Amino acid sequence: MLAVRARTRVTVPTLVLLLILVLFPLVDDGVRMQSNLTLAMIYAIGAIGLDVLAGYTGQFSFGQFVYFAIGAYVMSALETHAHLNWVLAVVAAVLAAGLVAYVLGSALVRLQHFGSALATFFLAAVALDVLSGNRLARFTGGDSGMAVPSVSVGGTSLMGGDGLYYASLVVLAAGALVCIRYIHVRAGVASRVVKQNQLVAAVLGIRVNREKVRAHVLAGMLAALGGCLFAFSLGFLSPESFDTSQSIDLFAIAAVGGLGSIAGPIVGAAFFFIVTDALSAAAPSSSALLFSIVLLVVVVFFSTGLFGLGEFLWSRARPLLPEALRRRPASPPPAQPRAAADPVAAFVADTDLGTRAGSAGAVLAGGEREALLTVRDLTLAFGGVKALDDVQVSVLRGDVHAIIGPNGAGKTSLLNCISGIQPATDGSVSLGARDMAGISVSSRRNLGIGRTFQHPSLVADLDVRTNVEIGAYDRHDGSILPELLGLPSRRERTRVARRRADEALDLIEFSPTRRAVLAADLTMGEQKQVDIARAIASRPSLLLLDEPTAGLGPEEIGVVARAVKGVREAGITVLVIAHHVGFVRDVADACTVLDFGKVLTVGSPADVLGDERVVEVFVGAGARA
Amino acid sequence: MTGEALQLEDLYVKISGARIIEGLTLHVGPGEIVGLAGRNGAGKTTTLRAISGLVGRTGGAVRLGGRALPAQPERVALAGVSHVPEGRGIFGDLTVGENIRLGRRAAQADGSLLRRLEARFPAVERLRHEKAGRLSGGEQQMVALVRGLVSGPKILLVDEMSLGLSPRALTTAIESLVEIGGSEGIGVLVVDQNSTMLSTYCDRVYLLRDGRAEVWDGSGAASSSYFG
Amino acid sequence: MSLAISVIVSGISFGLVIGIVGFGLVFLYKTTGVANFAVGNMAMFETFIVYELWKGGIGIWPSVAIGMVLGGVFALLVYLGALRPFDGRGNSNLLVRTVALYLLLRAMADVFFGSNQPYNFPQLLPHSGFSVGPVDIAWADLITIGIILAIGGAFAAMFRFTDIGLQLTAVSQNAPIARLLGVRVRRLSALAYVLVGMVALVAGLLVAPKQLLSSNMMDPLLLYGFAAAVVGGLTSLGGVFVGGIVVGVVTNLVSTYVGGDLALASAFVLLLATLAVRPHGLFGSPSIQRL
Repeated sequence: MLAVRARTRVTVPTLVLLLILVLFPLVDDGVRMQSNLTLAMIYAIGAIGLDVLAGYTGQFSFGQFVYFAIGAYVMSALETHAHLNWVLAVVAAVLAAGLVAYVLGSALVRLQHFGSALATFFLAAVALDVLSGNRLARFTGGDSGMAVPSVSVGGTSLMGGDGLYYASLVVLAAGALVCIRYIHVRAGVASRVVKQNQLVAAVLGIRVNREKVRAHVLAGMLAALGGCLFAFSLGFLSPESFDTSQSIDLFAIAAVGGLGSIAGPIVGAAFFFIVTDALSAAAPSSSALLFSIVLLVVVVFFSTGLFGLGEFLWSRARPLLPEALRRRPASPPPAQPRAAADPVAAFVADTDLGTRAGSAGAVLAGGEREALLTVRDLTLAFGGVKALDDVQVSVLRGDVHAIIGPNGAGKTSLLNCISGIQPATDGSVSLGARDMAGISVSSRRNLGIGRTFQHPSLVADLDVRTNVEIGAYDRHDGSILPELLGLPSRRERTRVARRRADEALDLIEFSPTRRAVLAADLTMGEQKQVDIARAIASRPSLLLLDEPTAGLGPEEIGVVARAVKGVREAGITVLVIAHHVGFVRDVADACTVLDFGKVLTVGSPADVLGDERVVEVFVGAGARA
Repeated sequence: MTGEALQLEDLYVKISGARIIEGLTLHVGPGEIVGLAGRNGAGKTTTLRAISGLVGRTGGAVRLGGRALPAQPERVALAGVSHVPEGRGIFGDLTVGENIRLGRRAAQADGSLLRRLEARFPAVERLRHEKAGRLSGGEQQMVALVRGLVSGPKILLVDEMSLGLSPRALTTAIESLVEIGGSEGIGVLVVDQNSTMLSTYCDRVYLLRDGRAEVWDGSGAASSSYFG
Repeated sequence: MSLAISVIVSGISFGLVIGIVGFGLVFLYKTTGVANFAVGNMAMFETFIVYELWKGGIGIWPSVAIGMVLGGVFALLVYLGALRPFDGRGNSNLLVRTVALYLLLRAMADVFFGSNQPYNFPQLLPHSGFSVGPVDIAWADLITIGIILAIGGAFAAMFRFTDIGLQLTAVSQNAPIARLLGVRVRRLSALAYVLVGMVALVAGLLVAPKQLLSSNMMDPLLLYGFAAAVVGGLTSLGGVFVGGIVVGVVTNLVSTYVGGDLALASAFVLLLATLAVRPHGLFGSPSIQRL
């Protein structure tokens, strides 16, 4: 993505900025400065929405000013033609923008960043053409424009001056708080997994497209609010006020301010308007020149923007401050009493909410040893090459089943077919009695298949606990509103997820003191552990592990082995790809050997690893001349 | 042709926080064929990628004939180190001839080396106008080797040569490599899981464990080192 | 009916101009990994340079010749100044840089070339035409078609017969492997920019006399060029011309029979429909879906 780190702790800087904006009129009561800051706040309302979209969800929009236009025109048209009360007109305009964002977002989610950048850029130009044309002229006045009806509250006009300044400030504050709330609730965290890696998000049961569309809608509605205020400030709407370059400017404001920070785009907007104004006094066209140079310099040399610069300066200045002002480094939360208790029992006991929890209990009760996972006649062909050729695997409930074989034997392909990432050419995969054909990746996860990847794809800018927590939700469903409002049912759901995340981390014996650390600062061994915890936090019945020992030292392999044993003890069936034979001996109950996409042999680890053919496959006999 | 030795001294490589290579030292002399064995994830491929600059090095030195090699793939290649990557890196939409033309650089292109290579790998000459993507794995491996050798490198790096090759194709490939390396004075470093093949054909085999390479005597310790 | 045929013929000629802008986008996308949003404004800026030279009194054709050289140099400077530094920051970072360039070049044109825009650009192609039966055909359209076919042919020959062309193909298919073979990827990127700088000027010179010379002259062309690139398959250098003709003919028909305000919208619909139905376009390879 834009190589920017998204930040979670942005509340304080945002509040500080808002406070400055509240107090500023007391310091400088100049009309000119006030109108600059008013415009800056109006743009900032759109820019923070864009930050949620780009900085936190990883989607580009170079056409965000379209929603400003929708807000401005729908509101004015409803007031003028339908004689609607202005408050209702604003609400209608924002809802209209949300609807458009929903439709467009649904179309755009399939595209990667370039496609969506292009499509939104295009959209802005099309919208401008349509606004200038005659087709909507009855409502919008076409090229000649339309007047914005005057609005006032308690005798104070909102069309400019103090009224508009404080109205913009209130809307910006509300918008910023919604955005900050959003990035803290489940939906916002899920978006960051989507930004990091869509495949991993799907494997965690996150509905990728839905989270993306949500970000579009939020950003679109905020921009429409900004558009209503923009209409007040203009007093008269004409198409050139909504030129395509406005959309680019808006993106530039967010990027210069610093994406992934909410506060950054506000700074960016203030910077943009103050600099523009200062320069336009000198030479009218040179302000655009200077701002584009600033944008280029920021993107090329300093991609974290002004907010990143501020962070850097703060980190340098902090040691110089008196003790009282220094924020202490995050200390581990005090409550860690359960770590000493029986982690397996706690983990198993906390499965009442899960629909698939029964499976875990049944095995512990000594249920019969039926197969949980059955792979029949599985074939996967790429062109003429068969990555998997008529593979049969049967994994008994409660077992740790290892898949071994040389590079290129088809081990990861097998896991991909089981988790639904790669549709098989032929054959079937069943979990229990259920055939998995046609079931999507995230639905398979919801049915109880968890997995990790060879390269753990944790969200680098989230801490360990949050990374695991996002894997702990039974379902990633439900409306966003209850989450944003913090309704009791949603709070309970989050509380459960948090508890289950801790239990999962306890189960695999992850150090309690390292749980507040950002994933970016973990060692590879720790990342693998956290990846396992994330995959089991939702209590799957089957856990697929892809090379959990690759690239680890002997000690770290021991840690992973203990984690796998803990997972087994909790009643989760495990299918693990491993190369480290000692590890396989240590943890596996059964072992399947793959070679050239075919099953070479199946059996207990001792038998299989003693088999002459297997030794040859591993150590190699092909070139014995 | 005067060969030059490849020398890795106390090499360290870190990839996204993971310490993959920690203090690796090894040596490939002119005309020598040297093996690097180790289990999956041990860092064999990473070692080759660090030599050619596809991944950054965090410490230590890579030298060719005493001069440090920069960590930039094109400059390493132009300095005389050819890298046949894992999966062979054939351009499937180009013909065999075009693939080989890419490997041949104007400076060294006197053509005689190409003729010697074609004599050694007659299939490559025969398939010159075929799209490389249509070839079998063994044929592609031949093309990749010829492409790596045609510039007349001082050192040839070959990653996972046995991958996807039938035993016969593998035998042909490695024997050709031994012969050409010896006669042209090219030092060859072969990475493979197949340690039997390595110990059969190589002048020396290193075993990569815990990020370091130790010379392996080819004794029965093989299985314990893999299975340990 | 004869009107329709004329509209289609001029649509084809316009489509080839679109194609050449799209060609610049696709060529850069393949060789540098990023489709440059600033290609249109590079064309615009270079056309302004030619205009200034001509106003300086050295005649239009010498101005064009000098402009070609300066266009290449200009594009090289764009690459070295904005895209080459810290080029390992990922494609989306580079994409945003091109958008910044888009803004920068327009602002530079406004600052350097005055506020009296738009200007009348001298006619380069003859006004006359001839009739085939009921259909009027303009020489300008035919010459345009000829110029663009010649450029397309020259590039095709470069890819087919030269080592540079082979290296460009290799880089576009797998840059790391090409680097392992000693291909100097950054030099090729620089070369690609020089070539695109010259091609862009051709597009600018074909557009400017028909419209007026202004700093937003190329905006619609850039969008049509993107649509052509997507329709043709983002990775197909030949397909982009076919895509350009499709876009040119469709938008010409729409503006004649429906209304000019929907021309851009119709291209947008073409783009979205392509992405929905056939994301790899008419000629792109299905395996490469980097959109």
